[in-house]
Amino acid sequence: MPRTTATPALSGATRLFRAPAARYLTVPVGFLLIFFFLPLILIVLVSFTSSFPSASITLTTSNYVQFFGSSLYRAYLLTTIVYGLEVTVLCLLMGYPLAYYMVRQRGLVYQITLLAVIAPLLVGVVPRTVGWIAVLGTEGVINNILLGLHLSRRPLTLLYNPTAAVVGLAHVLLPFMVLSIASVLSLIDRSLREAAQNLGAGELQIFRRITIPLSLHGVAVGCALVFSLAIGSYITPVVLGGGKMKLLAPLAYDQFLNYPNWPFGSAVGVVLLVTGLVFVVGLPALVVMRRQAAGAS
Amino acid sequence: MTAGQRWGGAVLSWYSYLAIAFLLLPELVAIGVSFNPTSRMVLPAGALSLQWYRTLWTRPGFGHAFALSLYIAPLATLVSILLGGSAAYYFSRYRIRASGVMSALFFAPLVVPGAAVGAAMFLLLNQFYLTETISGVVIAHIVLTLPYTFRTLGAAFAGLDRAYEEAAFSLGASHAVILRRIVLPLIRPGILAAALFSLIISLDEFTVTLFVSGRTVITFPLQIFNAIEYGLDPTVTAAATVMLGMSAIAIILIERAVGLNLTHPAVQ
Repeated sequence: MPRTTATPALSGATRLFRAPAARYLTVPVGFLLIFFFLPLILIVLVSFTSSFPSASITLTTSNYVQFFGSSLYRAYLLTTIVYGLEVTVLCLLMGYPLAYYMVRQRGLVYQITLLAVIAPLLVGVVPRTVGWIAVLGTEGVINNILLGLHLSRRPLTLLYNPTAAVVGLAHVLLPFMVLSIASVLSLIDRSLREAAQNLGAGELQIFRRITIPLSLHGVAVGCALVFSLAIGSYITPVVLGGGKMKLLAPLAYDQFLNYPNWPFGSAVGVVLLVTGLVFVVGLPALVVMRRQAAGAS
Repeated sequence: MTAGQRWGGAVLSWYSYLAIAFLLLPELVAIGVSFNPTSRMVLPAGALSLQWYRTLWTRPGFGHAFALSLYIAPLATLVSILLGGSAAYYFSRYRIRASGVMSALFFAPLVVPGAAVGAAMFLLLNQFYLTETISGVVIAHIVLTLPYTFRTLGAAFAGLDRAYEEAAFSLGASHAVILRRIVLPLIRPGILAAALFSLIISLDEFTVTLFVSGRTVITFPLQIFNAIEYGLDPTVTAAATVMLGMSAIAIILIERAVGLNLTHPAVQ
């Protein structure tokens, strides 16, 4: 192996990391392209066919005509969007104050709060949904408390309705909202706050004029993420909603596996995909545009 | 501090305690119900019982599903570590054109709606006759764990001073030797954390598995879903408690290995 005499470590290093060792990247990227991006291309393609799999493929928009032409399927889309928005708003209402509280803690309290927020990310959606069945059931914790305090004479039906599905999914997705907002809040320069205080600003004013504008990007990312994950969820809305909610995720599942109509199922999948994408890309972009507009004026 | 600020602080604290209680309540109740001796979904009033864990063991389905999950997760994890680690190493050591787009590639599986990913993967895997097979589920789990292994190992490589590799290289060590003798031993905690993330994500995965498996490859979470649909009794809470236990172990071990922090692959 050739060596240079002067500053061997440096010249060695430049050669060590200069060669485009593409082999490190080719296989992982190839794997993702084949098993993640190719499927997404395929589903778009299939959504424009009339039968799949079939020997000859003719492109048609009939699946989308069927979807958007029917008030039933439009209702599925609308219910899904409303459901996603409800979950997102609930997460935001709980998540922003929690994130704000968390980043202002130090030491043990911070560690405990962080653990309480991060740990649920590593807990499956299935056990958490099971937990809500136990909490909201006719003999569940909430009904026991209501009956015990004589706030209600009969057990209430809290389970198997859209509200249970919203609360249950907000519970699953709340950590994503808290993390998105907290990671932005923790970056806000403390000296801004001190400067504002020196200039006589009160807590509320600091919050409204400094904290909120500077954390808007985290809010947008959190909302986009929660919305996208919410509309793609299956078990929580199906189980806690009692299987009655007209949502795109179970509709897609039925079209693929119960009464196979893959082209139409693909169209449903693409509608879901695009709805998610509009939020994931659109919301953060909106905040950036707003900031640029504010900077320009 | 004015009285108003104190009140504001107190309200914020209590609101946060409530939000944390909200996060933990269902899990704790599920654990509680699993130890109740009756066949109703209630918290135990007095004596505790392990009968629902016995049912879990004896009732057909759960044991097999558990074994299947424990077979799929390590397979997916092994490949995910190799692929994610290799890409993360490249990202941390070499200059990459459009690196933002390239890394977004790895995190994309986490932000696309699950049912859409499931439907799309179903179509592709079906072309290779891999739907309703264990291999198909493993492939899906590799895709879904990649963001975690890529992210965790990326952080490990970023924390590793290049000087070690440069010194070894200047002394004549080959790439393979540098990797095996220097890099891998030094990032062992990162590898452990990445493996734990990947294992737990695979063990917990539901939506995409539902589509890809066509409900014939029944993993543990799918079996719980079947049991919920079939007829509810505390067995499902016992099964949920088993899953919660595995998550708890993973969380403790990850915290010990690299420490939990304010990041998640989906939150950039």
